[in-house]
Amino acid sequence: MPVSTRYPKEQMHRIKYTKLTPEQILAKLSATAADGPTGVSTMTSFAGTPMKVVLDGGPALIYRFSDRGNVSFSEGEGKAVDARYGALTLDNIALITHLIPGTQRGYALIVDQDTNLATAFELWFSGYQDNREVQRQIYYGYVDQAGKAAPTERHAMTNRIEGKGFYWKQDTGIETLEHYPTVLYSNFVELTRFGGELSFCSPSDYIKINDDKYIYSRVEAEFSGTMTTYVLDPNRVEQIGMRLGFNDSDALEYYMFRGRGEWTGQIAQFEPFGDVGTSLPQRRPSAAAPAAPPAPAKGQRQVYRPMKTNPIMTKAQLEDAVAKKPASVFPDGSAMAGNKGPVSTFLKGKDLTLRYDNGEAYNYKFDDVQKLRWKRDGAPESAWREERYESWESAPGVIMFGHLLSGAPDHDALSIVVDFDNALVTCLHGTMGTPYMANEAAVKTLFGVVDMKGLVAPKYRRHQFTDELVGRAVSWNYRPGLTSMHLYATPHSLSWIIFLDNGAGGLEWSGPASYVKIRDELYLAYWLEEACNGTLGTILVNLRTMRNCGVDYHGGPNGISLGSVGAHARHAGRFNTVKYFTPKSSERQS
Amino acid sequence: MTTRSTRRKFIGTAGIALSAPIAAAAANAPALVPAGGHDADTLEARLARLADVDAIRTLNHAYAMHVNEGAHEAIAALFADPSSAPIEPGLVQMTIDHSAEQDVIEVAADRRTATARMHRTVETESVIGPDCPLVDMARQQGGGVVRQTERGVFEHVYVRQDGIWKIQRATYRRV
Repeated sequence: MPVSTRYPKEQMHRIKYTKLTPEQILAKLSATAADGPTGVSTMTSFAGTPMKVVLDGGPALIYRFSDRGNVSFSEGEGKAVDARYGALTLDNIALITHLIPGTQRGYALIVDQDTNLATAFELWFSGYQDNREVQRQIYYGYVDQAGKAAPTERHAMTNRIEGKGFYWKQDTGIETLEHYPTVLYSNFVELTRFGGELSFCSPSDYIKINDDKYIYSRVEAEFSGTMTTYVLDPNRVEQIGMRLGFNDSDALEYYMFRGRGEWTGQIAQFEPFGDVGTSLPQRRPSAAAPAAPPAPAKGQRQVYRPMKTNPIMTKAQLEDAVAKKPASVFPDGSAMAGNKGPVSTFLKGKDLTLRYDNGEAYNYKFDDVQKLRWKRDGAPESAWREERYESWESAPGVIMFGHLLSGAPDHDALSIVVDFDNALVTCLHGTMGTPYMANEAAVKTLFGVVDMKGLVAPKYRRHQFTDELVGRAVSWNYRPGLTSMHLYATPHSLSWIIFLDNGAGGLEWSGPASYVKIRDELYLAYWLEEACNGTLGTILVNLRTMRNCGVDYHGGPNGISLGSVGAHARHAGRFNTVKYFTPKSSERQS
Repeated sequence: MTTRSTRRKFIGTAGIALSAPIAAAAANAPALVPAGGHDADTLEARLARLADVDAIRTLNHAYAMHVNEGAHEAIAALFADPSSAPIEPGLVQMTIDHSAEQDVIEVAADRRTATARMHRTVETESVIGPDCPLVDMARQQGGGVVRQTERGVFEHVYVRQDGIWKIQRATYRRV
């Protein structure tokens, strides 16, 4: 039976990519180096064109192209080797790539044939503890022209395409959404390869060739380690590119592609006016890291590797941690609650039952502003349990509150939004532990109604999942010095971005998410920091007051914690991407 | 006019040569006051005091530049007892004032100790806590701190040690 969308057995962040050895990598590369990159589109031939590329701080690259696909190549004074190359051109911009036979190295070279300026990506494997992760060193330079003076201009890193987003369809049929919300990272949605449910983030390079052409490159660090590099024309939305790496079957992908796309939008930049991002802001000595940073090593870049600082725990380890330390429930001074609103008194004194459509129902007695009792509906009076809670009135009559379900085997936590004007409730029911990690939260969304004296609940109406947030970017200032930006990248995932000192987007990561519409411009969102630190974040986003309130639920070496969240928002723009997430019929695909 | 020193400037222009002027100033200063003392208004005594003040200014300049670089070991080396050198918590930047001539520097009559009072604009930094994933992520790119600019007064006490002026005590207070 034909299927319209091939969903993977595991999403990218769940795949246990093989730790390939250098020997395995070399063997796989050697087989491919003899053939060169594959491609669907006709490659460009540079036959008969000798080329010497002079690189600032790097080796001279000397090419003697003999025919379409074959080249004699040497680095500086090194011995020339025969290699297979591939080349594509976009107007007068050429992208040439080749491996160096017998090594784990290669190059991607971009040459502007109008200006003779060049950018070279030296590429290699086995340069990081995960050998399969492609490493790169970028050199800027020019193609030597006999008898002519060397140009003084260079291609350069840029923030001039920060904030842009595109839909791309390669000649291979691969479709992606690619957003450039930071100068260090990018966000991409694999519509074809991974079913388009989640977005993922990778360290990325952005280089300006001229005002109409740019180079984009990412390495899927912490995943397959694959590199994708392309030249793009944002006006015509065309690209020429190459991809190098090992897929989830450990097969080498080394191909070139030509693509066309659609512009999906431009979100805000927060750098000072006049800052065009030709360098990254100097990392200043700080109280946390007083020593001057050492000179970067070859290929060094900032990569967010969340699993390095978030150890995977077993169930036994988690239970041990929980037993040693009482749960931390809404402590004062949470880093992410510096701009939270006042705790609400709305619930104090109320008795009610929240009835969910899956049959679960909870009785509540709100004894005080931060003290409640709950029991499952129908349970005996002896089943009442007392919990500390916090609540906030995000909009008149709309209350969000959260609490633990003490005694629950999975250390359950509830984040609940009640609309008393409509007697509707939505609950994000968090539990600790997934098949992958014991210290990772899972969540289910429950819709229901409020059963309370004086309220008549609707029979059919419920809060509903929404895609109204999809594509939006909103910055969140939690307190002085701590601001992030959410990019609600897909209906089922969001990204969070940390800003650099100059306001440019910096590190970025992504996790599964969902959005429920409570009222106009009022949304309940959650995100799961899966394969990361395991946190379940739940926030009620009010786009009229530009503020959120919410609950962070976390399990780890310090046990279980439930903390409050509160931040001020700013609109940062929107990508028009909703249409790309509509389920396709098999007929449409064919 | 004041300018803020940056680490880059410091490395490029002043870093290597910093301790030389201090040593030179001390070496060129007239000998200490004899046990019996002498008239404070003599030319020799006035020259000696001026040399001391100049050496202390140079010392203060070095202190500021090391602060701006976050070079705690270099700061400690400016103190008489490096092992107990107090580094003002959170102090990460201070202006290098060209008007430092207005600093109040007083050298004791025996020229063995001195004090200084200096108004400066400083940038302080406090670490955001408690830890949470977002803060951890921010720290990985050099953030996770709150930076503030304020005016304050440094009050230093100096002691001459082996012929070279050293900071004996440094205090800072916001004004």
